[in-house]
Amino acid sequence: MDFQHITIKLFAERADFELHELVPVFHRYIQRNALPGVMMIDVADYAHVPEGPGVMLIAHEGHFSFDVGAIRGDSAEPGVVYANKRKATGETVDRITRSLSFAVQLASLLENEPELADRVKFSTSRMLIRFDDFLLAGNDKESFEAVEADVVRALYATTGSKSLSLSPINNPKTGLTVEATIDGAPPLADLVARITDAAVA
Amino acid sequence: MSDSWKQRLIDEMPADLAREVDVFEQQMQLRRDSKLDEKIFAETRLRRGIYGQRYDNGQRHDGVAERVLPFPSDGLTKGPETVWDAPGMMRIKIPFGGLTPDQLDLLAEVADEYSDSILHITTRQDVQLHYVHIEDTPDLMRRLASVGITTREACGNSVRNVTCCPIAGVCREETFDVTPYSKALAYFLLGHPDCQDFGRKVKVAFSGCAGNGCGLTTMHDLGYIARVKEVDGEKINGFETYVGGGLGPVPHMAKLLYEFMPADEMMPVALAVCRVFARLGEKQNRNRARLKFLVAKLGIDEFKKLVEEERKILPHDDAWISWLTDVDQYKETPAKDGVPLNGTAKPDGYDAWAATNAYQQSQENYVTVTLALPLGDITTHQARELADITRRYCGDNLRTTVEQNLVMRWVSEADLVDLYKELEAIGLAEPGAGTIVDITSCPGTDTCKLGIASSRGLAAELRTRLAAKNASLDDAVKNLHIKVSGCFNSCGQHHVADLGFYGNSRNIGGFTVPHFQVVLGGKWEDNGGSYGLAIGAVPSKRIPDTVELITDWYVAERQGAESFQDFIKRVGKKTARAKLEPMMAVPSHDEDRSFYVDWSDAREFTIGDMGIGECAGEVVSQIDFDLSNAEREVFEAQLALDDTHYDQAESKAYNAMLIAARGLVKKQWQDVPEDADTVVKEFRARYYDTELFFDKYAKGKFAHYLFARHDQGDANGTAPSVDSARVLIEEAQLFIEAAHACDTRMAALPVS
Repeated sequence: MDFQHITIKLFAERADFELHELVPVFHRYIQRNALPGVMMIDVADYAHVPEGPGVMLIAHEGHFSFDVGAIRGDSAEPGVVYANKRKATGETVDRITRSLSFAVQLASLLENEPELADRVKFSTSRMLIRFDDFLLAGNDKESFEAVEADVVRALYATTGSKSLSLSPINNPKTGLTVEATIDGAPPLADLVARITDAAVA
Repeated sequence: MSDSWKQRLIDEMPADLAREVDVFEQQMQLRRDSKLDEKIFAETRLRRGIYGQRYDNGQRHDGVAERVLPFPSDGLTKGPETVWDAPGMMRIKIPFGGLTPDQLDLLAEVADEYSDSILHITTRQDVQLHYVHIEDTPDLMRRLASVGITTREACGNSVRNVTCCPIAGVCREETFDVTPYSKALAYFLLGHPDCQDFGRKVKVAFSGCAGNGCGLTTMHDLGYIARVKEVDGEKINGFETYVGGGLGPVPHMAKLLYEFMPADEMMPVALAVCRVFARLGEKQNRNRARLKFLVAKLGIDEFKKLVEEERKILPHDDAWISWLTDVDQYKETPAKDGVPLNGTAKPDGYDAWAATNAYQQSQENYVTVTLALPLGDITTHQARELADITRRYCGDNLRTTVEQNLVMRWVSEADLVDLYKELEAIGLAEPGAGTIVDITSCPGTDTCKLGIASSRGLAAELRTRLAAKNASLDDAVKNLHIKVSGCFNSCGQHHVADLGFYGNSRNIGGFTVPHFQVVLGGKWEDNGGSYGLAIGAVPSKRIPDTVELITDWYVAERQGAESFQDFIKRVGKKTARAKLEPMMAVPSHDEDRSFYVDWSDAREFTIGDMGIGECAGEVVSQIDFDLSNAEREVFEAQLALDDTHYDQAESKAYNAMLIAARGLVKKQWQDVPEDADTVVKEFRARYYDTELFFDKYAKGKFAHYLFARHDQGDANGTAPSVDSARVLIEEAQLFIEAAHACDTRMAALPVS
């Protein structure tokens, strides 16, 4: 299936900062071209919206954000999000990996951001994957079974884990949403390295 | 499973809306192939609600330097200085603000897939989606069409969304429910041929009463206030009718056209106004092209005379009455019977919420509940949950408001506590609707190319501060309105606010510093009863303190129950300015850099990111549109030829010539009918016999292509073939080229 709008969310284990602090941080990422291969456009501040997209970094390829509930499972939790919006190529596994790669890159930048100095940390053992291609898939059992193998392959390949579980988040109104729990997931820095090495290879 | 939305929704889209989207998709292809002029395409997409956003010229100042945004568009544009791949905005008209739960669910879907998971309610009851790519717009429009929504004429030089009091039909003070009238006029004018040749947009509003006047009719091009008149013992519904209002940089109060206009004259008079505007309105100088300038120039008496003359010659249209056939039967159906509030225990926060957000309807035991949305924004999750809540509590009865909120109508009183709890659980139970904390703001520099200062950033800051001290605010202050615009164009409607602000800038020590002009004493009530006074420009970062200064001053020095408007009028502009002077100081850049950075931003402030606004649309003449449509028809003929549908190819090629010919005839006779016999006859008389269509070398040769095909009719027994279809297509293309040349020659002629 030709999924384009694949969203990945990495949950924050720690987020001891105010959302508005991210505004100058994201502007600096644009100045420094901190996300290689990404055409960053602007920063959108939605901090005023409860359980919303938080602060977003709008790029041509898709939307990055520190999200506080717009992308959610059964409940709103903060985390870094990458939502793909433009044409993605390759197999579904490649597209999932690509979205994950972008989310991981932003998470890594934030964890290493001097302005946030140890006030943010992301889990790599739990993440949300959402497919907002409503023509191709509803949020139902059949669609979940159709993507399950690709999600598992992508996560095994990137994390190196040997064991993970996928739980569909059953809201018939949203895009197909899956929560992944990954045993033995590497720390974020290692995950970044693994994904980068795989891309080079 | 279908492989396209077009296929999937084929049975769910009204045929006319489906066709519109197909046409637009073809126009996109013609633009990609450089076969459609960028200016025409820009106006075409604007008239489908597809708007540009900041930085779509491919440049952005990142706080250090101006940078090129390397969109992969390869030079392709979607309008003058507007890069094809730059994200844009989709404006979605919601006529009279009427929104159903099904529509809300669909809006949430498309916002997740194509946008940033936020639905934004505008100051004209529209819904906007931001950061939408133009390639996604046809499918987006198809999905909207499947729930009965069209984005047609949401932008551009057209009749924009027709707005209406959000409590029309449930208001305790209304004369009658204006909802069905606003709906009828909205759909009657949509795509109407007489509304396609404006130099600027036309805005229409309805109000059920003159007093509260939530419809703000005084600031609209066409405004209607419900009135009833007794004629021969019978009560007739009608409207106090206004024309020529508008905000913009210089606001104009609308002028009274009729003290009472019977409802059945609503359509023809609106058309007459539109035709006068199309004919006499300014089209070269965009800054003077609104209807308000024409009314001001002519004076209301002369304008009225012209309207009445136009009304007399209007060809009759049964639609004037047929659209109004069911107005008396219009009614909304509550989901539940109205039952009084019983002794249910009220949770914390309920009383404060109910005091401001629950409006007792004229119908016993029913309440209209306002959802005060922060800066008009609602997440897709909230929207989905709200759709289900609405179904349970009030059926289909949701409306958007010009204060960028939503209202749920027909809530049974007995359900209020439970409803409050459900709304609170999804973050939609903020109290303070319509009060000082409920601040209206245009998008400003967040996304608008014309934005000078961050209206949303300021509004968010004011909202936070005022909400924090709300409990301690004097009652006289709590009900003041604050409205913020990012520039002088007043999309935030700052002129009708008690405290209005519009963005500008000042040069301080070689730096550009964001400021807001302070506009005091505007009146929301009485349909936007009066406009505020511009007092002076204050640096953006001092505005929250300025609000505190002004409100404290008002509380301390008002006389008795003096309104804020009366207070400002009494103290006068000079005194008000003197009061604000201390706030106008800007510390040096070394002393306090924060003044040189706007709200919700981190970059050193610049006005370099402003671009060419699209609110003024592109002035494209009616003949340009007609010839563009003719070209599109020929394009479709070619597609049919490729598909070996030769009869369809010939039919479309012939139709293309008729469209072009009729376009030329319309320049002389606006109401020329569409039938082929009349079009050809009139074209022959006006353009061939007069030799207007002749060019220097080919003379009238190309006109004969049309005549020959018309004379042939369906009487020819020969079946269409690939050759006959190809020949006719080529002839049609030559005819259209000749029509273009004819138009160009005519434009160069001296005006008699």
